[in-house]
Amino acid sequence: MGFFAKIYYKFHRFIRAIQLFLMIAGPGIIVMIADNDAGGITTYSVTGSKFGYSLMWFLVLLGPVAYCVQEMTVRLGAVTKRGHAEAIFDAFGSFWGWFSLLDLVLTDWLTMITEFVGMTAAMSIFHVPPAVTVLCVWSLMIFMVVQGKYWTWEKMALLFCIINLIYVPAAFLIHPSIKDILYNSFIPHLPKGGFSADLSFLLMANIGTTIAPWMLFFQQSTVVDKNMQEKDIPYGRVDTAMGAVATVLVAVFLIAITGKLLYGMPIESAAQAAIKLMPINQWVGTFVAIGLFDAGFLGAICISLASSWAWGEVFGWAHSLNHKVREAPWFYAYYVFDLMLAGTVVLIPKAPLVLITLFVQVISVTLLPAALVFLILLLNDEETMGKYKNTLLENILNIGIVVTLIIISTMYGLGTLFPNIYNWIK
Amino acid sequence: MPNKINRLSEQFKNIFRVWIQAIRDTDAKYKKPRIKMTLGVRIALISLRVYLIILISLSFFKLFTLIYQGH
Repeated sequence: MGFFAKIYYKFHRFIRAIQLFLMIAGPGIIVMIADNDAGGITTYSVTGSKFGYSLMWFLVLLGPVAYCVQEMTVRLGAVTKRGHAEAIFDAFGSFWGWFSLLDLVLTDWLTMITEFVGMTAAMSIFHVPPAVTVLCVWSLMIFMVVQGKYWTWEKMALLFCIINLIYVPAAFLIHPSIKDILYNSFIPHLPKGGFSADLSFLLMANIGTTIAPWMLFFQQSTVVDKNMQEKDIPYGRVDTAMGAVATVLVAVFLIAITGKLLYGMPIESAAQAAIKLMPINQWVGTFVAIGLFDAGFLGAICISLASSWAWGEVFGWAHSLNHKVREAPWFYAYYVFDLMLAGTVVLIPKAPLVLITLFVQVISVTLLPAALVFLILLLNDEETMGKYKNTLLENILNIGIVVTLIIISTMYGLGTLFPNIYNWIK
Repeated sequence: MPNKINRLSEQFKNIFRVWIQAIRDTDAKYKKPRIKMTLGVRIALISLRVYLIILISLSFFKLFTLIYQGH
């Protein structure tokens, strides 16, 4: 083969690989960006205003952590061709299966409420009443799933993922110090005042928004619904890694905005941050509000589907976005029920919605170790996973993540019981 | 009107029965776990579960305390 023929052949193979990747890409990017949901945007806004740039490194660290966890679901889904709920029921029996399903349903429902909180608060900035927002969101979300094609749903979701990156140009509008961002992103350090119950709460909330139980169920179900095969696992890994980078970028750039412009201000939510930003820079305030709505919407479409898939898998209902409504009535009925229930809670007058939003992140992260233990056990089942089972290094990393989560949850629990316990660490 | 209420309640009862049956069928289908766990692993999992439930209860305790304090 001549020199030019070799180059042409390699170029052709490269183009084919890109085309294949573009066909396979989706679940990883969607799940990772959707995890920057309304609760996430609120958590980052509060983190930036309370601690400035000093916790950026923690979010950068959470990127690889999220990748390690989610990559396992890609392998598990591609090898077993089963959703996460079904895999747990099958491997560990109904006792542990029901526990996992109830964890998922509880955290999903609570998180769905926070998505609606975010969306209604964001649209209130543009003077849209909450009831109108809820009705419009219900209609749009139902429209997205009833057309009966996974592919169409995924492309629409990817469009909302692109909008989620709005925080990156917004951050450049305020000319943040790149040197400060780089220093705070890569040099771990405690913020001024040292460790405190407040800090442990925000660390928990940040973990809770980066990795959550619904993400495990969602990505594995999308891998199955997309019919990904074992040979597609490398593409799934790239897809997940790209999503992890995007999720960290959004978090860091939002903290860059709130840490620079709102540091020291008593910010309690992303909507409040957007309102405070409006007089400082109208464009940045508007971008934050749009991003908040988008984050809530993206989170809501993924979370409600994660629950529907899980119920479908466990009860043996038809559960694919490729099915028409009449072919999978229970799957779509649960999806709509979940939306309606969460949307209605938001319309209750005087509910402490911001406080609920932050607590939901904490509850998610507290329940996460239980879900991760099952995932690790499944990935070590040689009979099922064969050559795709976890390596020793992967096990060390993932068990380390579980232990760290339990330690941080414990520290938070201690801080709740004894509020002054961390006063000696300064 | 009472007929309508009766019919509606009968429909609800039917849906409820279907759900209970679906839960029973699922229980029967997954009665035997494919992966056998040792007693040690089972105890560790149950302990972890109980511990996490305690932590969740603490979170709810704090949430209600803050709401009560008017935050």
